[in-house]
Amino acid sequence: MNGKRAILLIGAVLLLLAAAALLWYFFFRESEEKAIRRTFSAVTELVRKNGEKKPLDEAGDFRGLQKLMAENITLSGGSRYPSGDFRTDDLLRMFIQGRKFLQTLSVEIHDMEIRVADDGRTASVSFSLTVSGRPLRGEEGLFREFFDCRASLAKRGRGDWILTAASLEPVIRRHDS
Amino acid sequence: MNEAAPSGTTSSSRLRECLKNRRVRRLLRLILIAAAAWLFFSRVCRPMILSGRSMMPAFPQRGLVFCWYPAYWFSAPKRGDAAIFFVGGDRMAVLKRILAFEGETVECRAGEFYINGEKLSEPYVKYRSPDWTIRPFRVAEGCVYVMGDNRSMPLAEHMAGETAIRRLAGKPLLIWSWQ
Repeated sequence: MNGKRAILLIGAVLLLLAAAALLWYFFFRESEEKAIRRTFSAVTELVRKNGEKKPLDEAGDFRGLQKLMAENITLSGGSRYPSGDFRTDDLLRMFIQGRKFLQTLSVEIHDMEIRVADDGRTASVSFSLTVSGRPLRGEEGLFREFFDCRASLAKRGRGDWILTAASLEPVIRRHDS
Repeated sequence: MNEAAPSGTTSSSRLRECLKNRRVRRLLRLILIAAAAWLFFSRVCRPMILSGRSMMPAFPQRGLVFCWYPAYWFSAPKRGDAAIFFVGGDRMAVLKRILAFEGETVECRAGEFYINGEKLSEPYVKYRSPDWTIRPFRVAEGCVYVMGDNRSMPLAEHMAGETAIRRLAGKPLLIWSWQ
């Protein structure tokens, strides 16, 4: 009798655990899409500049962005922006240096469409990007540029997504230059 | 068995009584009006802030414009239409003049635009610069060529060129200037 009761008890506990696991899977587990969105919102946050940045903050941004990108990144920027394979560290160093000439910089991402590959290890994301900012000196006005973007991401061991490639195409393609 | 019927009748009669109440009716009317207004001003006739001198003089440098979405629901855009295009999600838009459609050849010589080799008549252009030059090119599939009206500005300052037709939002309506 006792053995039967023990088996029943273990069965009930296992059933409860399975139900809890299912609940967690469907309601609480972060979906791949959410994780990818988190990567992009972290990138926009780290890229942003509003007023002067201290070297320590810049180093923090550098490290933060470094963690969100693969060691090498493939860029395709059309005729106006750099294209090719870059070491992420070099690219980030260039970005941090370039950002010093800006008083403000912000990027906004809209219309994000995420496609995760069947193997769940890679994803491609398309979105509209708005880059706006104000130069430190010289040009007085605010600049604002709009791009159609496509990015490739790979999943790291712990479930984080990192950027491996990105392509930028201006929303309005010029023909006068 | 019979107990369920009176309770159902009671709840429906309570609802009817509630709807007869003037305050409830007023609240419902208010909710309906708010929902209709939200739908109208977000999906049919959306207010937008106009900023920039690229469409002068037809459009002011600063002002309020309503984007009329139904303009292109049942008809295709025409050459010379001033149209609003979304460029950054549905929060950022540009107001430009449509000059050419897919497959057409665009060229600019001495500030005058030529479409498929023919000079384009542009009565809306009041200021022109003879410095403007664009070598001939063919508008890509699924795209239109857009340009601002103010040709006295340097070409490089214009946000103009080829853009996807899918970005077309609507026509500008009811322009209010606070220049």
